[in-house]
Amino acid sequence: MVSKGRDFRKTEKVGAMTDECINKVEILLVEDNPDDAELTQRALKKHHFINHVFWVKDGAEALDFLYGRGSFRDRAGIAPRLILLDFKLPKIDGIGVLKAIKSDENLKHVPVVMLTSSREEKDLVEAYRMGVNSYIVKPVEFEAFVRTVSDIGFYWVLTNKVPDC
Amino acid sequence: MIWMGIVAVRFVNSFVRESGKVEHSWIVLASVDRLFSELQDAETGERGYMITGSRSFLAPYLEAVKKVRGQMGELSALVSDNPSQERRVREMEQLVSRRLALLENGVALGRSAPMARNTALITIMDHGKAVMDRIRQEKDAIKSSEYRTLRRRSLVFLEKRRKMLVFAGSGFATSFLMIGLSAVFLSREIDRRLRAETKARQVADEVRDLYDHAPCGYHSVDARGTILRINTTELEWLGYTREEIEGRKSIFDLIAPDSQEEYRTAFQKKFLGEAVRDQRIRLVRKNGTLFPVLLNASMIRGEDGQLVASRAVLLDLTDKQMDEEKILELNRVLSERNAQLEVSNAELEGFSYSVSHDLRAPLRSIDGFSRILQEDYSGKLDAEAERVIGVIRNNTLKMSALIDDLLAFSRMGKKAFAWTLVDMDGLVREILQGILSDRADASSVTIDIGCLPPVWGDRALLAQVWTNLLSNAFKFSEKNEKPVVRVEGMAGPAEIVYAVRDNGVGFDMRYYDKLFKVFQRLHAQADFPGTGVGLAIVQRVVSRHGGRVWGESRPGEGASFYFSLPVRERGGES
Repeated sequence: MVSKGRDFRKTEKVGAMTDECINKVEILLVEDNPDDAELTQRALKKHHFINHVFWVKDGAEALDFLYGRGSFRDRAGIAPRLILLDFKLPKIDGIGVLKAIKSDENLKHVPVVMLTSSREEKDLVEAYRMGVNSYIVKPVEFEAFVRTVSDIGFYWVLTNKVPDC
Repeated sequence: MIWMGIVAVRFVNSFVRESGKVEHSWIVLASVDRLFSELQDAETGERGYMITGSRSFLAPYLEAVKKVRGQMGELSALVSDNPSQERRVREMEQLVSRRLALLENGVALGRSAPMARNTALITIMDHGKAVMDRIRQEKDAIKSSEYRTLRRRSLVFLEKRRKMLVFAGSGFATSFLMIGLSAVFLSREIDRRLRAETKARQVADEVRDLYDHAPCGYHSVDARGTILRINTTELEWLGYTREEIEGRKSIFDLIAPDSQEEYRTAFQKKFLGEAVRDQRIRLVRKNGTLFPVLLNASMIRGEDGQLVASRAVLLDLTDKQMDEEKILELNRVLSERNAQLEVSNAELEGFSYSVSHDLRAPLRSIDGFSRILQEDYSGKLDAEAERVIGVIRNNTLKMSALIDDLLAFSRMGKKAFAWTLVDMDGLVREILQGILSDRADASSVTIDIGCLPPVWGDRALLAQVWTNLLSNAFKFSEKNEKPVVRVEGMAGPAEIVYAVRDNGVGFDMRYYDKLFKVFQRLHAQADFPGTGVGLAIVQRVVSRHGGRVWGESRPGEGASFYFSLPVRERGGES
């Protein structure tokens, strides 16, 4: 739990997490905008998901995390229960990450929710073509945003069932 | 004619046959008379000798008897064709034989002593007379029978003669008719040939005229390239007179130096039997200037089948080349502009994409962190601070709405058309249902839907038009105690006009020119919220359909908005 007024952005940095923590990750948040990431985590916090959320800032990092490569070499390959993926990302964009996940036998069952500002029709079509599980346009209004994000977490992590592996 | 000839020959044959039969009867008659007269001569001689005993009577007697026998034979032969006559003649022959026998008895008596004669003489003479009478009877019978035959034959003969005359007459008539008809036909044929000749001459004149004055050049050249014939058009192009060219100039004298080789190759191929199709060459005018032509040529074969000459058709390409150059220039400019347009379109797309994605993210942060400020510092902020945060958040959301509408407006111009025949009535009812479920106050509104004819268009885009117009109607009439929204359509021959009317606040026609512009509003935000994009979208969609939008109103008296869409057979932007 993050207390009021603390800069919790720092507390969620990769290095700050213990190995125990990193293997318990239930939600992987891929978001390049730290403000959006903070708002998302705050929304998830309202439903007590915060200890199980791990945030990476670009597509490459997301794939390293998922495959246990690079700075995530020590991480045991347990797939998260949900991936929240931004569309526009540095290095490897959201579609690239989605493609990698959905073409991997070990990862394709992990629900991926595209969480983006873009409501461009072609982005939507492309995401669904690649097998995205859900596509959400982030509302600008904060209350709506919190509601949407916590709904997503509630549904995909607590309600939805995936095979154990 | 052949038939007539055969019939004529038959007629003549039968005529001759019948006339022979008539003649035969006459001969029989004459023969009977002659026989009788010879017999009488013999009787006269016998009597004379018998009475006188003078031998001078004996010679005529013997002569007559000889003749009688001859005549008898002749007669028998003559009647052999007629059984009844033959029977009579045989009778006659017996009688004549008896008569001759009696005559011989008489002659024998004449030799005996004169005194002994008398009694026997009388007996013989009596006897002789009786036989002679029977002979006369028989003669008459033969003659009358022959006369009957003769009369019958004469009748047949006359009938034949009449028929022959009739036939000959009709033959003559037929011949004359045929000669007459032949003459008519002949004169007609001559007329026809004269007319055909005149026609042929006219056609030849016409062809000559067409040849000479066609808008293309024609010429014929022999195997060496000498120009045999050339039309006036080509002469005019070249600036020569006919006399200067025909039979004098070679086609190679008229080909521009830069086309010589190409033409020579084609020329050689041509005389090997290969046709020339659409060859572009240049010719030299008499004044030395050059001009481009399109050449097509075919070959002329001599009587022995050898290729003897070539016939060429030429089109002057001067104008066409100029046109082509112009078109090329225009195309070049156009593709340049197109490229520029593509670049700016791509830029615009990138722009709206980043508007959509990048402008919204900071807004979300502003709103989110303002909210966090309120939440996390709730006890430490006074009322003014709360109000200020409220203003910040309010404007953030307003800007978000502006961005959304701007993007929607830009999408309306970009979206590819999906043409269908749109059921406008169904569409309007669907949209009204949406509005009614969104607006709590909408149940008090009287809605009147008139006839809404179907129209060709993009259903999604037209839905946006109706949504914007109907939302406006609801919005601007919400302050009326009894709001009324009226929708109707009027089909004309070329376009269908749709109208949305309300009894709301209306607008001032003085600001009409601002009405359909983006972000232009005629009402205060506090009275009627909005971004001022709705009508701009309406206009954009309608004009993309090839239609028009207009509105009319007076402040406080409601507003009417109209849009027209062209009547089409099927989809397609015109």
